[in-house]
Amino acid sequence: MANRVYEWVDERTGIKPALDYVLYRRLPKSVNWFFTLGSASLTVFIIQAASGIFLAMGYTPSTASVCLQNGLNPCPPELLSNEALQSLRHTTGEGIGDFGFWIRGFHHWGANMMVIVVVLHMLRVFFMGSYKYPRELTWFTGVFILLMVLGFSFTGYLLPWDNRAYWATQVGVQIGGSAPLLGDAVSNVLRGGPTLGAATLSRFYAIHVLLLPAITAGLIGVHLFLIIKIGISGMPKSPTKEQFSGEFFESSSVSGKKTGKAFFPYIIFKDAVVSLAVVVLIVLATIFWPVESSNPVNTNNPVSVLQNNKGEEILKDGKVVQIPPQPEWYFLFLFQFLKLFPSEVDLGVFKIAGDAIGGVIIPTVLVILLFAVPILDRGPKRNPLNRPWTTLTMVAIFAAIIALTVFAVNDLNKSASASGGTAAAATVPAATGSSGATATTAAAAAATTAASGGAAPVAAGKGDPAAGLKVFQANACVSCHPANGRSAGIGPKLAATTRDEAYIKNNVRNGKGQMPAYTTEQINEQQLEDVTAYVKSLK
Amino acid sequence: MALMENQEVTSSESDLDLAEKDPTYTRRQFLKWGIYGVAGAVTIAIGVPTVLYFINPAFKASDSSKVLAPLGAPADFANQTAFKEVQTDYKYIDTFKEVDGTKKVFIRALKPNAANPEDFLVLDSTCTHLGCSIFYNPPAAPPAAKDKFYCFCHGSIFDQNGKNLAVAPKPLPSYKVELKDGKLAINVFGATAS
Repeated sequence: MANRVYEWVDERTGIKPALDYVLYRRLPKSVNWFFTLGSASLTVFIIQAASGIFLAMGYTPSTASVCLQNGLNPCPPELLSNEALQSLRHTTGEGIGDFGFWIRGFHHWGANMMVIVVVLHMLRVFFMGSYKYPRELTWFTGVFILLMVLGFSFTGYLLPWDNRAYWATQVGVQIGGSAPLLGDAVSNVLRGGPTLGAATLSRFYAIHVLLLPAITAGLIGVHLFLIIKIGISGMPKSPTKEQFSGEFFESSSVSGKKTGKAFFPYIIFKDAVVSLAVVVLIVLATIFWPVESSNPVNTNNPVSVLQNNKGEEILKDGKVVQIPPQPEWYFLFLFQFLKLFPSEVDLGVFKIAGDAIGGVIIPTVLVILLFAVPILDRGPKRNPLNRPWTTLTMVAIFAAIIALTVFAVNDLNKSASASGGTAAAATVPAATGSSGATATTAAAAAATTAASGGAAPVAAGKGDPAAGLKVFQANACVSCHPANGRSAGIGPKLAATTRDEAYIKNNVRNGKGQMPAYTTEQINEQQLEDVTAYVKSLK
Repeated sequence: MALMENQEVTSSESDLDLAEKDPTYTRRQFLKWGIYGVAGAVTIAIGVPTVLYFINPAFKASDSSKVLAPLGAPADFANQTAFKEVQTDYKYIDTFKEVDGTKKVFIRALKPNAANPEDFLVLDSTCTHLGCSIFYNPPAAPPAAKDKFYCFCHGSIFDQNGKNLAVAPKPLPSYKVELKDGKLAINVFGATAS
């Protein structure tokens, strides 16, 4: 039956010779497992396209406010979310039993896998010198596709419109904005306006789901056409056997070869095995590492808190997971690289922002160099050992990228485990408007501490919650118990605690985990009563 | 002799030769350039407005991005020699709707009885290391951070002028202080590296 349909179609299209050419073309015998990465990338692209289409069905690219609890007016700040995040959470569902969970997992882990596979593919082509004549155009389109992948990552990362996405994009746009001369124009065009907001989300959404897929599909088409038309390079010969004359051009044009292995089924079988492995990895990641969003966008607090789909904080080892502003892992090297530059570099004639050098100029130069590889390295030899400078340059650059990534991860891990031996780690008070503390004077409150300091022990239960709030703020308690203790940060949420007063006082005096111990010189007995009363008063 | 419609024109023949051989050549040429012209016109007609639409934000961004948020009357901070934390709430237009914004900054007077905007220093509260929120002289900070800004994330320390003393790679951004309706105000989108 299938055969008859095929014949029917062939009679009307003449597709058979073309398909036969593609399927049964001969490839060099040396084609091995290294040559499966391109088709693995294509597989991941198809997964991304499919999962993306279905994700888009449930997603609303809107920054409009949504209250997590229906019927509350006004909505308490800690319950405020937005349509984009809530539509995504609704689509994702609550876990493995919901189909949306799988779709989002595929898309998220597929995106990560895409970066890995595409970069490995590029390294394979680079080290085997496969970009050389006559395959320069294949290389150019490949580098374009790599840039598209990074563009997908950058635009897609913002779409959940959670705090982590917002601040990662804020940093990314700022880096673009540090570009010399055109900086402001670049960041304004990226954002679609002067601030990161509704226009940015629409813009990124349209670019992510319409513009980039169209361009990428076209580029992949050209890339594949060239691969089929010109043929695959095969493994370079061993360093000693590689000859200068003749052999190079001869081996380059394999199209129409009569010898070698047929693409179908010999080569494509390996492709299929590797693609399957990649898909299995994506599925396993989906199951074992559920994709979590952070808290909804908070334009005043760059530190995010991981939340589940109900908007509840996710605890790891009993602690809330805090995320300082950071990009996705594959952009971390750039993030770390930026830290190497001072804020301004004086070039004598004019000054230039350090970010512009590390974030715009050097990366741009590197991308141009990457494009130019087939132009810069035109020698006939393909074996990496026969072109040591080219090989060493790439090894050095790639080692630097890995090292920078490791340093960045180290830095970020340190933030999770607090520093300085003094106090708990991150961060930042209060969601928008949720703290009553407008114009809190840390210094003034500290003075109060000193003035009422010393003092004899006070009877239990004599604390004043209002005075306790001042103590709470003056001692930077809010840095770990945000919203004046009303929501969880590095430390737990204090409101509605079931702990008794003795427990609270003990923790203040002696510390616990990352909670620092406060001496009587920092918080005297009366203040201890006050702050305990304040914590107990939080409902 | 007229060239047949389906006759191949080989590139070795010069334009002059073709014109002599084929009286319809100018018509052929006209059609060719006509097609290019139409394609070009269509591309320009659709493409130019589209591109301008896309990059439009670059041209009209500077004015609307200025949002002056009040910090208080100069008298409130006239003798504030130690930094005071101020949280300012403001409204700004996000694309097509007004939304609430809030910002925490630190202000101090640069001389006694300060009265003019330029007599005040206003620093941003976001650590230049990884963006955590910093505190001024918090009691739980190590001695090295006494009377300085301290960040609980990685122990960044900044001095009275926002200069980075530890961990953070860059100084704190500062705001140009302006006077608006008798109050000190800052452009919340206008922090500059100090």
